[in-house]
Order: sequence, then C-alpha cells, then structure tokens
Amino acid sequence: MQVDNQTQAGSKSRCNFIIWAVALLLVGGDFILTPHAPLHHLPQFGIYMLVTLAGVGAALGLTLALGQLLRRREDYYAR
Amino acid sequence: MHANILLVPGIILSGVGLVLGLMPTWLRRACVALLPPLLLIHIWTLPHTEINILWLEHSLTLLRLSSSGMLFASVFLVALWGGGLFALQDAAPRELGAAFIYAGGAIGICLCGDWITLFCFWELMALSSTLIVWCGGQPDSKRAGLRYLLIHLAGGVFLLAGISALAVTGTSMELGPLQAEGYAYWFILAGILFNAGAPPFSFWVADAYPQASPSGMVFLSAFTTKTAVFVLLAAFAGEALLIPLGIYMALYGIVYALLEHDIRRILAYSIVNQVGFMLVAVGVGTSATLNGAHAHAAAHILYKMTLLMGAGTILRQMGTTSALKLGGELWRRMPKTTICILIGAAASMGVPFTSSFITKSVVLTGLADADLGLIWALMLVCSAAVVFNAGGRFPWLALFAPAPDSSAKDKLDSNLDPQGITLGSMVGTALLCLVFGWVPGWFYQLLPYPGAYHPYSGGHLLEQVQILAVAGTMFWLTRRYFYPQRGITLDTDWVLRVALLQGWMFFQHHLTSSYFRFTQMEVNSRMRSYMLLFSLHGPRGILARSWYTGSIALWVALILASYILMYNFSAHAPLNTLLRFLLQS
Repeated sequence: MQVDNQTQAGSKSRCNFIIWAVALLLVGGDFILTPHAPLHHLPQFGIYMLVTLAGVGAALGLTLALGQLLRRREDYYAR
Repeated sequence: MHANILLVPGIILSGVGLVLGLMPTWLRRACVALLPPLLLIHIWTLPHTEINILWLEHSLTLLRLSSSGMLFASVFLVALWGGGLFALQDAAPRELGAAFIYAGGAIGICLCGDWITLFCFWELMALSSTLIVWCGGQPDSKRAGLRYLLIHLAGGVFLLAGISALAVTGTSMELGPLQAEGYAYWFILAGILFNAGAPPFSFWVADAYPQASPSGMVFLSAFTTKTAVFVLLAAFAGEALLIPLGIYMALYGIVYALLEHDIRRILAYSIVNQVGFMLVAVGVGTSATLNGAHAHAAAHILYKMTLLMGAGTILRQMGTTSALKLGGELWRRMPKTTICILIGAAASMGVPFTSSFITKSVVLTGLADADLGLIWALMLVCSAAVVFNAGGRFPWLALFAPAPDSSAKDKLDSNLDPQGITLGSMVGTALLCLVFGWVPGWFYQLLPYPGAYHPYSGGHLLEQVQILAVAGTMFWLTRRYFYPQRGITLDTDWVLRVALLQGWMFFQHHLTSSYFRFTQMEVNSRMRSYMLLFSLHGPRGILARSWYTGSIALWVALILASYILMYNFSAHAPLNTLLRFLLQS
C-alpha cells in the first residue's frame, strides 16, 4: 500500500512538473514569436493562456452549479 | 423565361427529391452519387444573370449569384453529396428524398434574390427536415419531430409577418441589408433567429437532431442553422443584438454539452455553440468578422459532418449513442472511424493545419482589430471550450473511455469500421477538413470581402497552442467531474412542456368545473321553477282546486274593481271627472 502511494505521488509530481514546464515554454515562446498583444491594453505574454484559464474555469464552475440546479430524472417529461 | 426555372439548382434538387423515393434503387444511387457534383459544376459555370418570374405583381428572383451565396451553396452541395453517400447504406428512400428537398430549399435560399422566394424555400426546408426527423426510427422521433415542426412553423409565421409588412409598406422585396426601422425588420429577424437556434429556443437543436437516423442528423446539422446564418449575413450584418444572443448560445452550448451523456446530443449542443460564435461575428459586422463568419460556417459544416458520421457509425454498430453504454476502448475495433473522428475533433478545436484553425483565427483577429476586448475574450474562451464538447469529450466518451457494461464489450470482437462508400464519404469530409487547413489560400479566395489573412505566422501558431494546451490540460484534470451521468438537464423547453402545459391544464380544469357549476345551477333553478308551477297547477295545486260560485263572483268583482281603480289612476279619466262633478254639485 505504501509503495502504491509513493508511486502515485511520484507520477503526480511528474505530471505537475510537465505542466509547469510546458506552460513556461509557451510563455517563453511568446517573447520570441509574438509580435504584439492582441489588444493594446493587454499584456503581450501568456495572455491567451490566462484568458483561457480564467474563462474556461468560470465556464466549468457555471456548469457544475447549473448541473446541481437543473438536473432531473430521465423520465421527468414522461411522468 | 419560364423554361429557365429548370436551371435553378434549388428547384432541380427539390424536384428530384420528390421522385427520388419512387426511383429504382440503381437510379436513386446514381442520383445521390452524381447529381450534387454535377450541380456544383453547374452553379460555378452559370452566367452571372438573374432568373426572374412575375407572380401577383411581384418580380420573384429565383436565381441571383453572389459570392456569399455561391460559397454557402457549394458547401451545401458538398454536404449533400457526403451525407447522401453516407446514407446509402441504410437510409429509407423517403429520407433521401426529403434530404434532397431539404438541400434544395437551403441552396434555393442561398441563390435567390427576394424575400418571397426565400420564404417559399424556407418553409420547404421546415417541412422536409421534419420528415427527416420523423424517419429517424428512434423512440421519441415522432414527438420530437412534432416539437421541431411547431418551432419552425412559429418561426415561419414571424418571417411571413415581416415579409408581409415589407410588402405593405412598399419596401423593396429584394434580399439584401434591411434598415433597422419598423416592425418588418424585427419580425424577419425573429423568424430567422428561430432557425438559428437563438435563445430562448436553442433547445430544439438538441431535442430534434439526435432523434434522426445516423445519416439524417448529418443532413440536419448542415443546412438549417447555416442557412439562417447566411440570411443573417445577407440582411442583418452589424446588428448589435446578435452579439449578446451569440454569446449566450456559445456559452449555452458549452454548459449543456458538458452535462450530457449522449454523444449525438453533445454534438448538437456543439452546433449551437459554434453558431453562437458565427452570430457574434455577424453582429460585429466588420469585413474581417463577416469573412470569418462565412469561412467558419463552411468549415463547421464539414467537420461537424465528419464527427456526426463517426457518431452515426457508432450508432449503427452499437445500437446506442449513450456514453453510459458505450466505451470499452472502441477505437481498437474501429480504427478508420477513429482517425476520421480525431481529424474532425481536431478541426473543431482549431488545431493547426485543420480547417477551423484558419477560420476561427479570422474571427478572433477581426474582433481584436475592432478593439472589442470583452467579446474577444469571451469568444476565445468559447473557442477553447470546444475541447470540452466536440473536440475532446466526444471522442473520449465515444472511443476511449472504459466500457461500463458487458453488452458493449461483447461487440468488441469484430471489426466495426464501415466499408466501401460509407467509409469513403467519412474519409472524404475528413480530408476536406485537412485540405482547407493546409491550403488556406484556396478557401480565403472564396470569401466575399477583400482581406489578407496569414494564419500560419509563428505568433499565431503559438497562441493557438497556448489555448489548446491550457484547455486540454484543464479537460484532463477535471474530467472526473464531468463523467456521464443518468438524467436530463432542464432547458427553456421546460416552459413549453411543463409550465405552459400545466397552466393550460389548470385553466382547463377550472373552466370545466365552472361550466359544470353553472350548468348545475341552471338545472337546479329550472327544477325549482317546475316545482313551484307544479305546486300551483298540479293535481293538488291551489289553482287546480274546484271553487264555490259565490267565491268566484267575489273574486271577479274584486278584480274588476281593482282594474277600474288602476285605469282611473293611470289615465285620470272618468272616475276623477265623476268625483269632481259630485263634489261640485
């Protein structure tokens, strides 16, 4: 059991490392490749990642909330 | 001039559709395989003239070639061709006939030049698409088709009201940008928005489309909503109301697709999501966003067809599209279908070198250039969130998720890929998704407005990789929150199917009980009247008894006296005169 836990913890830390490495790589790529910010008042680097992260996170939160509120049995309309 | 009617592609297709079901099998197959490509050549070789006929003092323009209409008509013909070939395996002849009429209506709208002709083709589409839903053979096909028909007929009524108002006010009936004044504009806009799946009627897409057959949903996904987008582009470009409606639709598609467990309903919600994206582009109304809406509509038809053909293949082979019953690493048994679905999914997400990458970038760049920061951010999110419906979640649930029950596993022993022409149609549409992505110049030159777009710059590629990397990682990390679950999610159709229905039943109950109470009261009062009459005139009634002669004489004298008195008081006649005479004497 202890070995399993250690293996899981190891794979989780590897996964986190990969995510952070890719994120840094993409933001770093912005310094070289992105000519300017998409809108004049936005930062030039990593803006697409930030907007996606915030927006998709909000959409997922909204989905979970609406799911709790509006979920019904499959035969709801048949009854 | 009337002989030229036979040159109108919409009329040709509708005419063939009417008799397609009666043809022998070999001729029907030949029509399905050859007519769409021949018509594609036909519309690109037609001279740029109009075909007009006179009807009730109105000049109807049955054919007018515009760059926008040609683009949409061409993609519709490709969709009819691909869908028709895919349908040959198991579609009923009447479904194929209805599909040809449906496509004829859509192409007729794209190539017509006035509102009356548009309305005729519009209603033709509504009726034929309902037939396609009814041919679905699913448990709820008939009722869903009826709901679909009601919604579209309601939309048709609004459209007709608007067109009639145009005619009454003497406005030109020519199909083109409308002035935002008078109720004709708003009625026509409302009628078009019904078909676009705009709120509060976005539910009909996911309600009706998945009830069609595997091939039926391929046809349905291509025509109705995109025809509405075409008309919005032609008449309502720059209408600001479309922006909030489009944002709602884009978010609605994301939220409801995530709560859904049926893979075809996920794709239906994804259609609403992408049409919302197009509506925003139309609403902003710059040449870049309008070009983007044209391009994205065309790309969307192709990749959604690919995905729906994949979903249809799964339905044909497994007998279900519920993710609760699918899975079991189906990709091992249908590798060719899996590749096509993955290409379609990549195109839907905007992966570089696919069609949607080059079209979404036009819209997003147009929004950024117009300095619409909030709308740009929202559309960016909606574009990224496709990973959570058609792009990532759909292939994962359909092909890669583990099997929840043994019935699905039992079917995994054989190769489930379709064969021959069915596979060919799916591969063909998947290849088109790639061709447009690889050679965007071909695609961009079909767009109606001038503009130079360069999607394959290093910066743009990196932007898209950023979006996909973040969205993909979020999908993978949060996927356990969105495992398919039994149940449905209430939508705005609750108002029609429950609130209005129960309200009507409540009203009907009270109306009926009031009627019964009134009837009872009437019966009771009538009975009481009869009882009273009976008590007076019945065998023992007071008026039925025998009377003494003296008593009768007394009553007669009393009645006469009272009569004389009444007469005198009323007319001031002889008795007064007599009394006055006696007193004076």
